[in-house]
Amino acid sequence: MNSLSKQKDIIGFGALAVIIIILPLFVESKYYFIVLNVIGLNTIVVVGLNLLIGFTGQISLGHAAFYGLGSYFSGVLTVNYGFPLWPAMLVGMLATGAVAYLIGYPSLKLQGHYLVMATLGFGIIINILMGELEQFTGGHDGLMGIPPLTMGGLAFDNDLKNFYLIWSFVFLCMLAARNLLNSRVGRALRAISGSEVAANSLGVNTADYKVKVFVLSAMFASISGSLYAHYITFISPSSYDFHYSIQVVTMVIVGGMGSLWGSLLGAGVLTYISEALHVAKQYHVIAYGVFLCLVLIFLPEGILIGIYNLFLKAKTKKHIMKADRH
Amino acid sequence: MKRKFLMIVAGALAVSFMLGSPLCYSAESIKIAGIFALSGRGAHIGTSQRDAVILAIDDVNQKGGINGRMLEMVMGDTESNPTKAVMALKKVLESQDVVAIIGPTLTGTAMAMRGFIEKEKIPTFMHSGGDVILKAPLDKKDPTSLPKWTFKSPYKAADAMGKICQYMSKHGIKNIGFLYSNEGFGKDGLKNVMVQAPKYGVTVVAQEAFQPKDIDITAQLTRINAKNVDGIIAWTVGPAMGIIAKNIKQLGIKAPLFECHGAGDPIFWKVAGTAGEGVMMPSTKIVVGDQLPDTDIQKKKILDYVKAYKEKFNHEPGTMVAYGADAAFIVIDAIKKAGPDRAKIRDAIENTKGYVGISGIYNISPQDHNGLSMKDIVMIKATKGSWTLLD
Repeated sequence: MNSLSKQKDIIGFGALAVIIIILPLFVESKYYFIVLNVIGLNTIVVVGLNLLIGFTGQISLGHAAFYGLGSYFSGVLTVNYGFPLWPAMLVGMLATGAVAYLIGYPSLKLQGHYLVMATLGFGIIINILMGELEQFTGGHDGLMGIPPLTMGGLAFDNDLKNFYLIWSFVFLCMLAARNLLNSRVGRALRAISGSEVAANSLGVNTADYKVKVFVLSAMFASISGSLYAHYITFISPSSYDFHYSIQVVTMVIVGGMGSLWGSLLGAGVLTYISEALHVAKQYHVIAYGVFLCLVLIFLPEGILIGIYNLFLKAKTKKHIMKADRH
Repeated sequence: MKRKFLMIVAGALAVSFMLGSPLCYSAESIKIAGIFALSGRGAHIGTSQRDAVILAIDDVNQKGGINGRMLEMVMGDTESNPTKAVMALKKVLESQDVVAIIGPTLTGTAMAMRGFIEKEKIPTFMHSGGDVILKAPLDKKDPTSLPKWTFKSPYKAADAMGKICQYMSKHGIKNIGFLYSNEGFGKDGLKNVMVQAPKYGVTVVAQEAFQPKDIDITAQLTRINAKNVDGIIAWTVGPAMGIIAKNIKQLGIKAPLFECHGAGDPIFWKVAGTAGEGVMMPSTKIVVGDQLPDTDIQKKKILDYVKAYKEKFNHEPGTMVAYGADAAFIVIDAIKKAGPDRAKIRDAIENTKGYVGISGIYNISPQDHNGLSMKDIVMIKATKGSWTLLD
């Protein structure tokens, strides 16, 4: 790790912290807060998923289930069993991690894309269970009356307070991901993303690392799910269907695979665009599709890196033109 | 060059999205919010309910508005998704002077919005079907904490089921098979039939479930038929309504088929085709308006509304339209009585008595935020691409 990129990270995280703190001074609308909060929740899931997709080349189509497990653990334990709020969230996180381990362990031992299949099926099963285990989950009618999180005497019961809560978690999760990537584990992961065979031959236990990253990304999704449940205070199976899994994978790709800041950008841009496109009335679904196509055709490396590359290209072009003139 | 052009197009699009959000207001209008499922799985219902509300508002505005002030609808799309529904709600609340909300379409989105509506104290008339919206307490520990600001226009699913069972017992149908889609709506139906059927001396001798996306339901129907039933109730909405009707014809089952109260809609004929012939269902009176006896006090209102709807949108309205229209009419009436004040509008809605609507006669009270009863439901039979009123 060279000092230059360390410096860049410090600037990046510093800027993020400052933006989180001062942004509410400029935003008055509750609507924009809920959009920002949903962006934050999606970012946490996407950062975790990006560790998996970007560094191990494995894709999960079951992150809606992990997100949902977090929500339902928090919701069911606090509403039905009177569990204290934060421990319920922790239980959800650990249980989700354990479940992810059970799925990841066998499927990641295999070469190839078996995790996609396993998570695809798992996601659908969990979604069905949410509807069927009525006595616990409230079934398709959903689970209502989930209490807001509290800290000391402070209850996170409005959009602004939740903004600070959710974005603190975004900040922490991103910082954790960044530190992980800059550690020995991170170097191993980078090696895997470069060439799995080479990494293996150099003594990196690739299967083991892949499972660990998968478990971690499931736990990120679970944290986000818990925050969602306590924020919206109502959950139902339709929020955790297959579409959500696809949506977060799309965010990873649009933001840029393997890019931490790209995750933030991908979640932000796609969440905001799908809202802003309502201007197009009944055509908003089409407009959203066109936007995705444009990004994938012209910026296949993701928005962040893509725009950066375009910028570099323009710069070199200018240089060449200058050189030609001389 | 071509690439550059595309980049410019993309850039222009991006800018237009950023600028697009603010809505245009005229200074004097009274604003109500309309939140519908305009995309996603509930879109076919949401769009017709939106049309119904637009028609009601246009009608008021053409007659000069309310005390000279025009009505204006601020629209939101739930995308049939609970999270998006709450986002749409908050967006609408930004325009602080929205005095009431009409919608949303689906029960899941309604449940997600309910908590926020009660907190923000905005009178809301929903047109989603689930009885749970009004029945479930806001605070699980306090069973009396029922919603104060939330109302809903469709009649209770339990009453619709009761109506079928009543009809069956009148026509000597004793042993029935119950077929339901394995999701919220279908399972709710199962609970209701177990309560309603015994009241009318009807016995459920077979019950079978299917998945909402199944394309063949003959296996379940064969098992039901093996029990020698006199009638079959199928509780589902969507393409399965048609699949069941077709499968019954294919198997040559003679027992009459009854479907749920969502089937009385033009969409039924789209999914069932000629196999739909003879299927019976409970419905609002809107689809059989011209067959009602002249003594029916709803008749004129329904016929006028259907005529206006057909003129404006060029197709037949179904049951879903009736729910949207009544929600709009009652809210508009409350605004006329109480003026543009949220709390007063709520009280006015709660005191709506004997209101002759399209779906029925509404008698709303603090205990009953729906106000319809079994008397408002009629039994209809699918005949030649249309409907016949049964006794």
